[in-house]
Amino acid sequence: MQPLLQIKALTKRFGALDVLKGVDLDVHQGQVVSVIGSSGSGKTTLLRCVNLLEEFDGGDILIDGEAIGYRTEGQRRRRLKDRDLSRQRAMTGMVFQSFNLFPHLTALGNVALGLIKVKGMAKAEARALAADWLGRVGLAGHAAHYPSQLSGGQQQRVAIARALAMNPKLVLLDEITSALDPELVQEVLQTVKLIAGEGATLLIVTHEMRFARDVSHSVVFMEKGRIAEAGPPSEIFNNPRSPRLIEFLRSSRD
Amino acid sequence: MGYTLHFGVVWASFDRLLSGLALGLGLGLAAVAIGAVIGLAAGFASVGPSPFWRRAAGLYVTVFRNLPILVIVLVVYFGLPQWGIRLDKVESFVASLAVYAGAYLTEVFRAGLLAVPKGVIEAGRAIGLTRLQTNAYVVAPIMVRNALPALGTTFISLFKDSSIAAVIAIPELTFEARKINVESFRVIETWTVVSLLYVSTCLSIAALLRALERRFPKF
Repeated sequence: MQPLLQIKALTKRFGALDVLKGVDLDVHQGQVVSVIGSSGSGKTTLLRCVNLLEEFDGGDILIDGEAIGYRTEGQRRRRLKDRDLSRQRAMTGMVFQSFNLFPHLTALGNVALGLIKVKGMAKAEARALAADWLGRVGLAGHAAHYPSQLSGGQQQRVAIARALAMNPKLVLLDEITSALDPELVQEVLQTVKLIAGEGATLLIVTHEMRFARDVSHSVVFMEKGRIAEAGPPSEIFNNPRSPRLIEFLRSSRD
Repeated sequence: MGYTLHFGVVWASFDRLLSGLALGLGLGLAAVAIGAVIGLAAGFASVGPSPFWRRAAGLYVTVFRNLPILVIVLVVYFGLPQWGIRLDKVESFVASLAVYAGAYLTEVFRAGLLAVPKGVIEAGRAIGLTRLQTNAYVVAPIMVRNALPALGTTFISLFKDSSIAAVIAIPELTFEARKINVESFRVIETWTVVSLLYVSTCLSIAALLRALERRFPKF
């Protein structure tokens, strides 16, 4: 079966700095893949390339077999037009480290905006679906609250509902608990476990090793812009092979 | 030598002052409305992706923010007809104040736009909104909220600039006041009443905008 997400020989430079030096990664429908690694290893950049928030210099990203972000004209690679990029972005959902809720909209408005403007749903239908999603992330009582009236954990759960309500093929989670107070981390991780259990396809960048071990089908360790080691969580965490991964796991256990 | 205040003549002409005030408010509103459209377009251009439009917006602001409004009014009213562009007094003044307002509002909107968090814009793009949709449904509302306090100051200042219309004999408040002055020689009385009218109108505008500010959710 064709993987839902195929990343092939992906390279990305920021000026003189090679951030991604040829990354290959497949994610299948219904799979949960976690990307771990120290900061600066390129994890977040990888996610941002998949969501087309970042341009990339070489390689291909395919979702459901469709190459995203660029088209090739003869020898030249050209960035697609805004409208095509927007359509392709809607195939993936993204949850950010810093929540990034729309501050001028209520929790319900945050979830409903994309349904109305991107999916073209009628307002009543969109609001009903948005309310439904807020209920699923445990925030039914907060629909009318603005982001500034919600705790960090609640804001992040709204952001999860906002991403999932769009029914994306693939959800990208970018260090979604890193900006949270420690006591709020678990409610967000529980929400992610819930959607993973419902069969969502997730690509997760995380520093929560226990969570990555619990929720993932596969774990990828990135080091200096490359995938240094990949495998099922039992292998990666119990039987790491590369010295860098062993060192990384030891330091992140502290 | 005492100067006895006599407000009688001013009250006798009070309806003229009120109609002058109404006209001034009308001029200010029309100019602010047009200026806001210019300011929105130039404000978005000034933070946008196109270097050409960024520079064009910058040039526009540089020119019109550094010219006194009186000079703009005189050039548009007396100068443009030499080029075959003939506007009547009111049109000419509204156009002058509008381009002047546009330059200030561009800067107000630009500051508001720069304060929109980048991550929130990315969140809009991430759910599949196009650049234009993101600007309309995410960036613009946040920008307006950011800009409201500065907008209030600018609106008040532009309303007061409607008094400049007196120099091309548009019968707004300042023009009517000068006429009453000339007819009655009640200088202090006339300008006292006119000043109170200006101050109370500006305070009302400020109160209206503060009420509007309160209707927005706090970020």
